[in-house]
Amino acid sequence: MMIKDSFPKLAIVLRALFLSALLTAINLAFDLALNQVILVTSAILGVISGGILAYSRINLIGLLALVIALLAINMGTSAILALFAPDNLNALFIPYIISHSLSLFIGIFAIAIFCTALSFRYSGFRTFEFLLTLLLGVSLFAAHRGFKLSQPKILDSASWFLGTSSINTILYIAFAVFILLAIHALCIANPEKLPGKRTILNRNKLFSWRNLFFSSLLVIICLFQFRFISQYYTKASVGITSNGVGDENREGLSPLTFHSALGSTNQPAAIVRLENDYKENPFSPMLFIRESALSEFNGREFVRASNQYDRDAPILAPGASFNLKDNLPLKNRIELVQSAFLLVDHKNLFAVDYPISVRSLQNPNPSRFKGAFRGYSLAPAIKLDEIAFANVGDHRWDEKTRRHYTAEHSDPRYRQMALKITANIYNPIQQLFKITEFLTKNAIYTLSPGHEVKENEDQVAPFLFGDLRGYCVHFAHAVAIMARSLGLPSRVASGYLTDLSQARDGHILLRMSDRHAWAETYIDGFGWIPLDVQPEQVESHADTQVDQKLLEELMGMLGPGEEILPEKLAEGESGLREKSDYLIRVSWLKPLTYFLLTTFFLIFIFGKFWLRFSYLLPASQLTKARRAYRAELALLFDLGAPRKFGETREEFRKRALKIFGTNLLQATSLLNEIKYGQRKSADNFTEKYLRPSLIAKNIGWRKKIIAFFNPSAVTFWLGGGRW
Amino acid sequence: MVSKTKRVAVKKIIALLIVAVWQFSVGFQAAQSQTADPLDPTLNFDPFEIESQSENQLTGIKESDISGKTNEQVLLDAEILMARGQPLDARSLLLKLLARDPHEQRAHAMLASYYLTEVAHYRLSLKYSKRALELFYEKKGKPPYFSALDQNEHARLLYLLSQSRLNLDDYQGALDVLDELASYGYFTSWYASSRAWVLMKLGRIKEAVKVAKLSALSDSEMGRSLNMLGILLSMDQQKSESIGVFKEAIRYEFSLGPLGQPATPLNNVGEVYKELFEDELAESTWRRAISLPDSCEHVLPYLNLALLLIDQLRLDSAENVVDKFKECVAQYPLRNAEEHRALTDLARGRIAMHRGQIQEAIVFFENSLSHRQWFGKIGTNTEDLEVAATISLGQAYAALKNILKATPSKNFWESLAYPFKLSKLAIFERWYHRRARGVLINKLKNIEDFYIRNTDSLIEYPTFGDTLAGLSTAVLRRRVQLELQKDARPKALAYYNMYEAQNIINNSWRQSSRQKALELTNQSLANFKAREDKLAIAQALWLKIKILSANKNNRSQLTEEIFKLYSISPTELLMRAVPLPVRFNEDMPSDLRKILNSSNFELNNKIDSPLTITGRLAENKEIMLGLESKIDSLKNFTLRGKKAFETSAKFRDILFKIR
Repeated sequence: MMIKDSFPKLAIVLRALFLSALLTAINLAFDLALNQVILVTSAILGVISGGILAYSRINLIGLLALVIALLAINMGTSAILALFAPDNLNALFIPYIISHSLSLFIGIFAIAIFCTALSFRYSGFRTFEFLLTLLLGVSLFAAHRGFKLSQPKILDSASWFLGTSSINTILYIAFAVFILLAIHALCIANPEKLPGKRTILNRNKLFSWRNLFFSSLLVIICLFQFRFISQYYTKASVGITSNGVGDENREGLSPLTFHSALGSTNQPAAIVRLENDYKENPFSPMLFIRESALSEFNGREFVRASNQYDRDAPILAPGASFNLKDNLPLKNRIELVQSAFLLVDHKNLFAVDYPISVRSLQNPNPSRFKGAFRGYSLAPAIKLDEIAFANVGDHRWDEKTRRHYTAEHSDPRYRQMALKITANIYNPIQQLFKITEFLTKNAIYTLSPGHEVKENEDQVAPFLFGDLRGYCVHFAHAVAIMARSLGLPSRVASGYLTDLSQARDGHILLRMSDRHAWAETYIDGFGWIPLDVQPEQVESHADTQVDQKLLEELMGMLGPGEEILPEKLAEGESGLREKSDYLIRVSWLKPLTYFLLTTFFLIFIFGKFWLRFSYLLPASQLTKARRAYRAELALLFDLGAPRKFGETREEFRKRALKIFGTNLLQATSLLNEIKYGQRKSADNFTEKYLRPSLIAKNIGWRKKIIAFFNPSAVTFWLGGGRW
Repeated sequence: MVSKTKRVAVKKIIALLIVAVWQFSVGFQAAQSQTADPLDPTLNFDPFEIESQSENQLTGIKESDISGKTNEQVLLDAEILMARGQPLDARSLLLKLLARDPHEQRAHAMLASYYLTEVAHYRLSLKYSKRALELFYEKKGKPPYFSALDQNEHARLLYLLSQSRLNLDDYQGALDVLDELASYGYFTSWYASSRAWVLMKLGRIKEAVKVAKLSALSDSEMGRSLNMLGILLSMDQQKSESIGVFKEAIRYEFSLGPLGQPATPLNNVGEVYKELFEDELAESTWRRAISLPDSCEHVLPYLNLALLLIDQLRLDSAENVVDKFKECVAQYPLRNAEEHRALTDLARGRIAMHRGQIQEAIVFFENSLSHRQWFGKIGTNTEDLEVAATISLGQAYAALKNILKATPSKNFWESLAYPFKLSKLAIFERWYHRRARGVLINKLKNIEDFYIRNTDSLIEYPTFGDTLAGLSTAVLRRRVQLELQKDARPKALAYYNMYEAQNIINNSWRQSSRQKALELTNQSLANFKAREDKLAIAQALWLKIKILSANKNNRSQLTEEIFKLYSISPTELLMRAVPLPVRFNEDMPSDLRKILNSSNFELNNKIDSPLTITGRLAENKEIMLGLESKIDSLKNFTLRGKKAFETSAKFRDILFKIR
C-alpha cells in the first residue's frame, strides 16, 4: 500500500514533541499540577494513533464516534469506580485517584488522536492549528496590554531565572514560537492532494523551496524583531515610560513625560542597602531617593538647569565619584550611608538627599549587577512642626539665584488657582502644604490621563484646569508652578520613592514602578524638602508588592562575599532547596544548548557523508550500487527534486534527466533488474555506471553547495523515510 | 503592668549582661592584624581620604571605623548597638569585621542570631550558623570538648543551626542536630521543648508527648515546655488535660512579668476551645492574647480570631483584627508584614469574598498562594495553606459566576460573550476544587483535615462541602464513618451531615436521595447556634433552598427559607445564585421587569414576600426603582437613573449589600 509506505514518521515525531512540550509548558506556566508522565504519554500515544488513523480507511464520522466512545468509556469507568469505597482509610481514595488519572489520560489522548488525524488529512485543519499556535503567542502578548510587562507572574520569575528583562523573555518566547512555526512550515504543513477527496501529508513533499523560503523569512523576521524590538522596549521600559519618569539628565532637557505613564513595570531596577539606621526619617515609611533635580522653567515644563544650580543633584554616571564642595550649614540632618547595586543600566546615580559624597563599589556579582556605588548623605531628620515658621529660600542666595528658583509661568491662571487654594493663608510653608493637600484630595491618579496636548503647548494646564487626572509628573509640576506663582522657590525632582515597610534588614528593592517625580521647596536652614502629592483617588496603578523571594535572593548576594560564605554551605540543606518552577536549571542552559547543537551538527554531518559518500567504502558491488543510487536520490532530494507520489523509478530518472540535463540515475535499470530477478549480480557496476553518473557535471557549484547544506534529505532519511 | 520604657530598659540591661558574659567566656584575645581583603567592597576606597581631612570637613561622614579596634572591641560595639536598638549599625559593623577577618567565628554566630531573631531571614541565619560551626571546628577541633566554655559555645551554635533548619521546614535536619547535641551530653534548657516541637512537626506525636512531659518535669524553660505539652496533649485528643496545662503555662508566663510571653499559651488554649466549639471562650482568649505586648511576634492569635469572626460573618471585626496585626508588626523596623502575608491575605480574601468583593478576594487568594510562608514555628504547614487558598479561590470563582449570571447584558455583543465568560468561570471553579481535593488526598494524608476545626487547618469548615461535593457519595460516607470512630463531638456531626447532604445534592437526582439530604440538612440546622455559626447556617439554608426549589409545591416554605438566609447575609444569596422573591407593581415596564428578573430577583405577585419593588419611567425618561419593605432592618428607598441596566445593577447591589 502506498499509504503505508508513506507514513510520515518525522512529522509524527515532531508533532509528538511539539504537543508534549506545549502541554508541559502550559502545565508549568499555569501551575496546573497535572501529572507530567500522564500528560506526555497520552500526548505521544495520541499523536501516533492519530497518525495511523489518518492513513487508514476511517472517515470523519468514524473519528468522531471513536472520540465519543473514548469519552463514554471514561464516564462509565468513573461511574463504576464511584461505587467503590474501601474500608481502609489508606485505600479509600484509590478509586478517585484512578478515575481522575484515567480522565486526564483519555482526555488528552482523545484530543491528540482527533487533532492529529484531522491535521494529516485536511489542510484546512492544519491552517486552523497553525493559527491556534499563533494565537497562543498573541495571547501571551495580550497579557501585556498596557505594557504591564511583569504579568503574568511566571514571566517575572522566568525573567529573573534567565537574568534578563520581562520584554526580553517575551521576545525569547516569541522567537521560540516562530522557530516552531518555521519547523511546522518546513516539515509538516505541506499538503498534497491525493487522488480522490483526501489531502494527505505527502512524504515526498516534505521539503520544497517555497517552504524553505517562508521559514527562512520567519527566522529573519525573528532575528530583526529580537534585535530592534528588544533594544527599543528595553530602553523604553527602563527609560521614559516608567511612570513617566526617565533618566535623561542633560542641561535643557527633562527626563519626564506628560503623555503617558504606561510602561511602569515591577522590573527590579536596583537594590539599596542602608548601612546604618534611619529612624529619624520624617517621611517614614516612605523614602525619597533623588536622581535629578529640574529647576529651569522653559515656559512649559521644568528642565535641567546649568551646572551652577542644583549642585546637590549632580549629573553623574554611576561609575563616577563625587564630593560636594558647597558649604552646607543644614539643621537637623543625620548621616546616612547607603549602598546601591544596579540591576538595570542607569544613566545617573541616585541617593537619599543630600548626597555629599558618592563612590563606586566593586560589583559583588557582575553576572547579576550592572554596577554598584555607595552614597553618603545628610538625610533629613526634621520634624515637620519645626519648619512651620521657617523662611523659604536660602538667605545666602543672590538675586539671580532667587529669580532662577522662582521663575513663574506666564499663564495667570496658575496664580489665580494658587491664590484660591491658599485663600486666607499667609504663612508660606502652610501655603505650600495647602497646595499639596488640595491635589492630594482632588486629583485622580491615572497612568493614562489622555490629555491631547501638542509638544510645544503647556502640558500642565489641561491637567490642573481640566479633569485633574494625571500622574506624578503632572502633580509635581502643578505644585512647583503654583508655588512659584506665589513667589516661593521650588523645583521638580525625580528618582525613586520607595516604601520602607517593604524593606528587609535595611535592603530596599527598587522597581521601575517606584520611579517617581515630586516637587521640592527650599527651606532656609533645612535645605530642599519634598512636597509630594499622593492622591486619595486612584484610577490605575501598576504597583504591586515587592517580591520577597527575590529580595532574599539578592540579599544573599550582598553578603560579605563568596570567600566568606562559600556556596557549598547550601549543599545538602533541604531547607534551602526551592521547588523549581522550571524543568532545567539556568546553569545547564548554555552547556545543554551547546551540547544539543553540537550533537545535531555531528549527526547531520555524519548522516550527510554517509548518505552521499558511503558507496566509496569497500563493499560488494551490489551494496555499492545501492548506496550510490541512494546518494543520487539524496542529492536530487536536496536539490528540490524528489520522486513524486505515484511516479515510477524509471519515470523519475527521465524527469531528472530533463531537469538537470545529466543522466544521474543510470543505475535505475540495473537495480530494477536485480530486484525483479532478471539479473543476479552487479558486476562491473563501478566501471559501467558510477563514474559518469555521480560527476554530475551539468549541476552548477552553487546548487551543489546549497544541496550539501540542505538538511532535508538527512532529516527525511533519519526520520525513517526511504526513497 | 510595667511600662514599655521599663521593659525596653530591662531588655537592654539583659543584653548588656549577655555581652559581658560573652566577653568573659570567650576571653579577650590580642588583636590580630589582618590583611585587608582586596575583593571586599567596603574596603576598596576611603571617600574622605583626601577631602574630608583637608578641604572640607562638612563632607566628613565617616562610616564606623574598625581599623584601630580589635575583633573583641568590634564585637562588643556590635552587641551594644543591638541592645540600643540600632541593628543596622550593628549589622554593618559585623560585616566589616567579617570583611577584615573572614574567619571570625563569633561575628558569624552573631549574624546568624541577628538574622534568625531580628530579621526572620532563615536562609541567611542557616548559612551564617553553618559557617560559624565550621570555623568553630577549625579553631577548636572536632568534639568532644572538655572546657565548659567550648561546650556552651558549641551548644549555642547547634541551637542556631537547629532553629534555622526548623524555621526552613527542614524538620529532619533540625532533629539530626538535636540528636547530635544529645550525643555530646550537653545540658541545655531549651533542648527538650525544641525536640518535642520537631517531633510534633514530624508527626511523631506519642514520642513528642513523652519528651514534652519530661521537659515539664525537669523544670527547664517551664513556659515553653508547658506550652509544648499542651499542644501535644490536644493533638492526642486529651483536650481537658491540654487546657489544664495551658492554664498553668499562662499563669507561669504572667508570673514572669514583662519578660513573660503569655500570648503564646493564650493562643493555644483558644485553639483548643475552638476545637471544642466553645467559641465565646476562644474569642475572649484570643482577644486577650492580641492585647498583650508579645502578641506581635505571632500572627496566629490574630489569624485565628479573624477566621473565627469570619465563621460568624462579623466581617468588620475580622478586618479590624487583621489590620491590628499589620500595625503591630510595623513596630519592628527590620521585619515587615510580608513574613505572614500569605496568611493575612487568606483572611483578607475571605472577608472580601463574603462581602461580595469577589475580584479583590481573588487577588488576595492568588497572593496567598504565590507568597512563600515558612511554617517551622507554626503547627500548620504549606499544604494546609495551599488547600485553604485553593478552595477559597474555587468558591470565589463560583461566586463570580453567579454574580455574572445575575448581571443582565448591556448589549447584544455582551450577551454573546456571556456563555464563554460563564464557562470559563465554571471551569476555574471546578478546577480549583479538583486541585484542592488532589492535595487533600495525596499530600494531606487522605484528608486528615476532615476533623472539623482541626487546629492546624486553615480550611473554612462551614463551606468545606463545596469541595467534598466532588467526591463520590460512597467515598464521602465511608470517610465520615471513619472520622466518627474517633470524633464524638455532636457539633462536628452537624458539619459531617451537611457535607453529606451537599454531596448527595451534587451527585444524585433521585427523589429519595434528596429527601435524605433534606433530613440531614435539617439535623445540621438544628445543631447550629444562631450567633456563632452564621456561615454554617447560611450554607445549610442554601442547601435546603436548593432541595426545596426542585419541588414547586413548597413555594411558601421556600420563600421563608430564602428570607431567613437573606436576614443572615444578603450577599450570600447573590453569591449562591438564589433569586430573591419580591412583589412588584403591575404597571412596571416590561423591559425593566425583564432586567430585574435576570438580576437575581424573582418578580412574583403570587407569593407572600415582605419586599415590593416599584419600577416606573419618570417624566424626564429617568428610571425610578423603589423598594417597599416590611423587614425592620431594611428601609424603603428609591433610586433614579438614566439607564435601566445601570439603575437595576445599583439597586441589586444595594439590596444584596455588595460593598
